[in-house]
Amino acid sequence: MPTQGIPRGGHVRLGRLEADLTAGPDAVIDAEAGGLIEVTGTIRLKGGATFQGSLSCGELRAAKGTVRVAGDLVSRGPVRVERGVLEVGGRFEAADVDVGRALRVAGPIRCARLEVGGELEGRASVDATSIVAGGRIAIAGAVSAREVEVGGEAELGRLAIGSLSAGGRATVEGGEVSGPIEIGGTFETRGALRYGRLEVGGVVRLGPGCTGGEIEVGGRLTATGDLRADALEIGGLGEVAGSFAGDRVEVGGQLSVGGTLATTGAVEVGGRLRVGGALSAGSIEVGGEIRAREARIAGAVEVGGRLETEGGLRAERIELGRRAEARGPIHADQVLLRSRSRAETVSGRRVELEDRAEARSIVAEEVRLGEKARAGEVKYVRSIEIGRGAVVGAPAVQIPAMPPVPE
Amino acid sequence: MDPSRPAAAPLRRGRREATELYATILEVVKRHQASARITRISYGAGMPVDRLKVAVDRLVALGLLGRQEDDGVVRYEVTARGQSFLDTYWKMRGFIELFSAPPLP
Repeated sequence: MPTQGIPRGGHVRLGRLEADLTAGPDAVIDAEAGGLIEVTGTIRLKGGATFQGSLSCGELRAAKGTVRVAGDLVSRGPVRVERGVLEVGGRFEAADVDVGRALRVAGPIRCARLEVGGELEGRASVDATSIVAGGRIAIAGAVSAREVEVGGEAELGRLAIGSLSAGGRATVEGGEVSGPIEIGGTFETRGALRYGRLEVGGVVRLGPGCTGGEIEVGGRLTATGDLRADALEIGGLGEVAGSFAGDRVEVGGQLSVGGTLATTGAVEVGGRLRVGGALSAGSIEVGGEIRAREARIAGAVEVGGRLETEGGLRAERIELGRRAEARGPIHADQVLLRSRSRAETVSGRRVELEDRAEARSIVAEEVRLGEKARAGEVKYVRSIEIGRGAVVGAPAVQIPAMPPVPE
Repeated sequence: MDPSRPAAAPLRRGRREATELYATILEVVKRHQASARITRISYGAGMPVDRLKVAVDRLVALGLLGRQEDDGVVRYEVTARGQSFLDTYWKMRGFIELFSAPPLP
């Protein structure tokens, strides 16, 4: 194929060129009437160049400098700007795209693999097989790709992608990431997001209505609305303004849920668990404090510090730790109040108070009071065992059967 | 103007601590999947090549980056030890965030 050359700093006018085009640095190419520069072959640029119109070509290769296309850029083949910047004023369509420093596009981008060493800025949508940038990605419109990877920061519009990985921070409008989201520092979504798995080293801020698989956060998670996740693992603090539903929860520090908290499996919280609504779970283990309107637990409950439920706690097994305190009625098949712990109304098949533990009222089939334990009143069906120095305020009463437990 | 100096510094926000700088470099290299060249890393990390080379050499010496030369072209990749550093770095940043955040109500 013949080649047309433009010297360094040359200024030419082009319409349709059935040839390759080679240009020296700082060339300016004006479009003929119609505003389209059409090069059927390959464009090779030794430095920066400016195309004053839309550009259509077979392939575009530039060594360095800034390549500016005032209108659309459509390349049937790849576009490669080795150590420079590419700026497109309109839409951008190509096969593979590889730009060294920065790619800035005003219109929509459509290509196969899109790779930028430094910064990718798209003011409209991007539809690509994969999007990779070393430094930063900012795409205002919708993003469709199998994978999006960025070394530093990503700010993205609505997503329909397979996976998202960012070293530092990612902010998205919402949408769907069918596979994993892996972020080193901070992840934020403004709207609802469906995700496969979310793994973030530092901080997560989720908009209302996010749903997906496992969430693993090193530092802090905040959700402004409801949240659904198969599993929620937070190293530090979690705050869900709405309700949370999932399979299991594991929080190192504190978890606060404004609405209901419902899991099929275990809830484990190292510090405080606060639930504005009802709490239901497979089992619960809390090192510090539980506060909920009411709690219905299928399995065991272990509380190290304080338990406060206005509507009561029902479980298969309840264990209050040493010196722990329960406010509100508690009922379980087995209730164990460890040494020096205190409860109000306690009922169940078997209730045991260890030494110096206290309960205001006990109703159970079997009751055991340890040494110096104290109970205000006791009703029992089958047996009662009172340890040395234990005190029952009123005489213990044997009843024929357990009264029904209020729902 | 020094041609090796990047025009934009997308990740720079004031002075970076050494560990943050190393983490930034490793994250950028990771995105290029074993084919990161020094200029590409400089664009991503927002650092001039001369300063970047010092940091990259240190990361290579510490075993956090691997260096391969093919037909005179040097490429870098994150080693397992480098990935381990990144995992630890982000985990530590998570803890730091906890200490600086106000407690929950």
